[in-house]
Amino acid sequence: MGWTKKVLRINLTDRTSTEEPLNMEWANKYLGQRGLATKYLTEEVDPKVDPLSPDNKLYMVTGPLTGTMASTGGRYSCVTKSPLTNALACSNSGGFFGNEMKCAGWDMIILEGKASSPVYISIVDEKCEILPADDIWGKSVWEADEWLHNKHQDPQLRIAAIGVPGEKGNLYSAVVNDLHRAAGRSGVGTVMGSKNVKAVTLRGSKGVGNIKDPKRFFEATNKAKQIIADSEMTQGLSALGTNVMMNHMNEVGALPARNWQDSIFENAPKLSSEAMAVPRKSDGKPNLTRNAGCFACTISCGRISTIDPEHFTIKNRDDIHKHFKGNSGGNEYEAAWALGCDTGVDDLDAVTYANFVCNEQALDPISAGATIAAAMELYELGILTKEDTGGIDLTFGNAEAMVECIELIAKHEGFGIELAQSSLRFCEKYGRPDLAIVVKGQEFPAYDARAVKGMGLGYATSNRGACHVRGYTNGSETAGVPFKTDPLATEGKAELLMAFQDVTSVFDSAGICTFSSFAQGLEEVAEQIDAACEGDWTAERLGQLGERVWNLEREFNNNAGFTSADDTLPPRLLNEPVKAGPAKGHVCELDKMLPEYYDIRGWNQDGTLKEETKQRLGL
Amino acid sequence: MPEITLKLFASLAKVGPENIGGEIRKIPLQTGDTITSIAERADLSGKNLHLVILNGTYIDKDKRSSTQLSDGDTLSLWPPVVGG
Repeated sequence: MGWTKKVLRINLTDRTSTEEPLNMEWANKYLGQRGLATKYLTEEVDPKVDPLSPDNKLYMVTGPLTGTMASTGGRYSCVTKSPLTNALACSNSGGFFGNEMKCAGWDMIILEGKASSPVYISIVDEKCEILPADDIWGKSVWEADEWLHNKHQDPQLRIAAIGVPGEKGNLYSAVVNDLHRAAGRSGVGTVMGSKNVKAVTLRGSKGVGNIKDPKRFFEATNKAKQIIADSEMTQGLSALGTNVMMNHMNEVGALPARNWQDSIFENAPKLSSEAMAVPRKSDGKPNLTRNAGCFACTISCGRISTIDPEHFTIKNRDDIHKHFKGNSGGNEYEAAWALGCDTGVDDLDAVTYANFVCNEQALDPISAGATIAAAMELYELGILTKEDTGGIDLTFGNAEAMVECIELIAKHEGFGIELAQSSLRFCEKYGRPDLAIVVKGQEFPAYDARAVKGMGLGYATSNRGACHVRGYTNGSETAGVPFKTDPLATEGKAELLMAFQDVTSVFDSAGICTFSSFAQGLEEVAEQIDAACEGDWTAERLGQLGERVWNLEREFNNNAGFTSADDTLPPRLLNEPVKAGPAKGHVCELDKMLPEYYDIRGWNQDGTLKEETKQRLGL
Repeated sequence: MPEITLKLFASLAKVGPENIGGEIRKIPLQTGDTITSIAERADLSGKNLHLVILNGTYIDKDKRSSTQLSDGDTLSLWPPVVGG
């Protein structure tokens, strides 16, 4: 039936684990993964809970299509209350961890309480053990991964772990699985660390064999795979990865640079997907070795890269992990932008190195890069001095400085401890919170909202703080998918955004990747879910389910204390016009879009849900 | 002689050490040149030119054959691309 209908609840305080049935009433209303775990969170956790207290919970959750033959069906999410934003956190990852959870027989693993000393959790089918992690506490994800594989003598063990920053309270720590796939945003790794959990290891032998109508499921998944295979969008992702957007966003004047002071980065081509394919002088190899796919993925947008052996980041260094001198997870668009354009650094190898560090130590590269960028602006303004940075010359474009910062953040030492508190808290400390480019405390991704205005509305209203994968209107506004709209217009963006947000909620709740939505739609997803799961699933039902998930998340945030005043953008985006390019003179006119957005959402103008909306959606 | 800058990206680009980050060509401008005529002269007729950006602004498919180019214009072309 898609779901295994089993939940593993782990109480870390008394070191016990219990099996319980999945709440099928909730599964029918919220499907799985993002939606379902949010329902559990809202029912089990006080929205005002301190995110780093034992009373917060961390839900590691799959969707009904996770682990099946549906294309991209390898997704899982970490859902919790975020220490970065104090709002709902929901971070989605690929790799092979999600399908392993299903193959071990679990829809969801719930971590609650707090262990009295560092532990890791070993799950082999029904068997769950809470084991000492003293040998790997203080180690990187890559070191822990190797130690755990050796200890369990199982090369097929799937591991999700935190790095040193997650142990130490860095507010943008991720949970990394399979060495370089990440539940990256909102500090979900910080929550895992607060519970003294270093890692979760999984081994499943069951497969996902409980499909309602296997023949119809086979046909439905095959049809969707053909649609994905025929799409030039997804073909492009396979060949060039997400970083194909780098040149595009730059050419349309919507690529933020130097902490969003500029909207064009003159050296963006040096960091682009096209640049990653050019052989370098030293060894004749390009940065990009090959693409890579997550479980069951027929797109395979992942990048596997190497760093130039002559580059200063790795040459003559024996203090770094061996993966730095071999192939590992390469630059995605967001990482390349945050660690590159936003810091003004145009050195592809330095950015690749910094991205490797983020994988090695489970850091969100967007928040890490953006926090360094904010610090660079403070430094150039003279507010931050070398005395504060520990001697680092923190000017925009200084690759050595960016690398030094990311290493200090990774080790949680010196100036890195300051940067670990995220850009908002860092900028507040130095009296310039306006320079933190955040919404609800979470750093922005790589689309200038003054030049792509639907994205601005999306950042302001995203339930997990600034985010691009909650409502990717940029697909329509600049990339013409599924149809082209004017990126500089505000008219119609509320409706466009709501459609993107609700559809994405469905993909994130189903166990499949949102990138497949560039090719397949809700009709195809409904056919697959209907063949896999009990009940009658239609595109219409899924559409309303997506809307329900969005509103449930909103309700959690409202109950956590967020109001319409939090649905805003940094002053720079609202008041400082773009300096050059096609969006020259533009700011993001949020006030022209937000009231309409509330209206079509069925919300009051104070951002609360109308009673009729709750009733309509069954909330 | 008047000319435009033609930038080709993604699968349209032949990248190499001389073309890091995309292929850039200078195309001499002829009288009456449009986006479509330039694309034909650049051997791009059979390609899916999904994103056509003239000086940073998207040009609709139905306007490409009538949009005349001027000296110093930058024309950037992509096949369908998405990311995130």
